[in-house]
Amino acid sequence: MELLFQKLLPGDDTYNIILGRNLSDIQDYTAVLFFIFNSAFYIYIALHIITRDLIYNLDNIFLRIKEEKFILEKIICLIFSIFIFRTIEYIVALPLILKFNLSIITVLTMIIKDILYYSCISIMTIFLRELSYKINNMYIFLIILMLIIIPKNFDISYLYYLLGIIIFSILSIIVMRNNSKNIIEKEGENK
Amino acid sequence: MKIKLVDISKKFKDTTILENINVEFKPGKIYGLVGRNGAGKSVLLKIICGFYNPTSGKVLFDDKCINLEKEFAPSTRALIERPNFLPDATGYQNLHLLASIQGKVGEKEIIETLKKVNLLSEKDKKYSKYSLGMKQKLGIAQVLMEDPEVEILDEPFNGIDDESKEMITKVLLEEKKKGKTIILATHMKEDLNNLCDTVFKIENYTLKEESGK
Repeated sequence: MELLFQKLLPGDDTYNIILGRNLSDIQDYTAVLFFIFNSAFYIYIALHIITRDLIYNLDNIFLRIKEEKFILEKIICLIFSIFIFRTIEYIVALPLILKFNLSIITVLTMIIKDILYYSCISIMTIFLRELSYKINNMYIFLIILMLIIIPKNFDISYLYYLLGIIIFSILSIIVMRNNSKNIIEKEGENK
Repeated sequence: MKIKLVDISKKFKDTTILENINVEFKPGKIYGLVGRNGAGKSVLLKIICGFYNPTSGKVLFDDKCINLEKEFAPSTRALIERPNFLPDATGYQNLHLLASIQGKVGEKEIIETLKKVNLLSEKDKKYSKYSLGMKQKLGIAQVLMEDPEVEILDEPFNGIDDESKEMITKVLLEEKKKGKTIILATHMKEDLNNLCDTVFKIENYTLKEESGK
C-alpha cells in the first residue's frame, strides 16, 4: 500500500501512470494496474457496442441494414465514444497534468495518440470477437486479446495505430459480411 | 413476393430439426404454421428470413436464392420468438429508432401503426414497464410499420387480449388484400381460425398441409 502511495506522489511519470499510458517498466505494478484498467474499460465499451444489438435486436437489424454498413457505423460510434471518454479522463486529470507544466500542444498530442491507440485495440477486439464466433471459443479469444494488449506502451509512431484502425476495420467488415448468419445462430443459442 | 423452400433441412450438430421441407408461399395469402413447442416452427421462420443457413436446400425469394448469396430476406419484417427492444426507451422511441435505419417511414406512419395494434395510449411508456401483451403488440407494430412485402409473425397472439386480437386479425386481413405474403406460426391452432388460407403442420421434422381454402 505504501508503495502505491509513493508511486502516486508527483514524479516524472505520475500523469502517464494515472492515465494508464506508461508500460515501459512492466515491473511497475501501479503502471500495469492503471494500464489494464484503462484497456479493459475501452475493450468493454467495444464489446458492448457490438453485442448490445446482437442481444437485443440483431435479427431485425439485418432485415433493415446491410451487415457492412452496420459494422462500419458501429466502428465510427466506437471511435467517437473513445474520443469523448478519453477527453473526460484528461479533464479529470488536468490538475495533475498542469503540475508538470506541459504545453497545450503536448497534451493534445497525448490525447490524439491515446484515442488512436484505444481505437486500434478496440476495433481489433471487435474483429477478434467476430472470429471467436467462428471458432466457437470465447476463452481463446480473451487469451489472445490479453497477450496482444499486454504489455504495451503508447510510444510508437501514430502511423502504426492508424494502419491498425484501417486494417482491423476492413477485416471486421469482411468477417461480418461472411459470418453474420453464424453469429446470429451462435447468439441465438446463447439466449 | 413469392417464397419457395426447396429441400430444406436443418441440423444443429447431430440433432435433426427439419428434413426435406418443400413449400411455396404466395403473395396475397396468409399461411399458418402449427406444431407443438419445439417442433421447429421458429427455426423454419428464421431460415426463411435468412437468419439461419439451412444445412441443405434453397430459400428462394422471387426465384432468387438468398442462402447461397449470403443475403437476408428482402422486403421482409419479422417477429420471431419474443420481441426484443431497448428497455429504457418508450414504445414510440423504439419504433422510431428502427424506422430511422432506412428512413422509409416517419412519425405519421408509426402513430398509425400503433393505433392499428391498439397501443397508441401506451406509446410514451418505457418498454420495461410493458406487459407481455403490450410487448407483443409492439413487436407486431415493428413488422407492420414499414409496409414490407413479407410479414412473418411467430406466436403473434401470445398474451394479447381478445379485443386487440380482433383488431390485429382485421389488420392482417387488410394486409392480405394489399398482396402481402403473410406467415403466422403458433402452437395454438384456434388462433388461426378464419385467418389463414392454408395451414401447415410441422411434425416429425417435416411439413404437411393441414387445411387449405
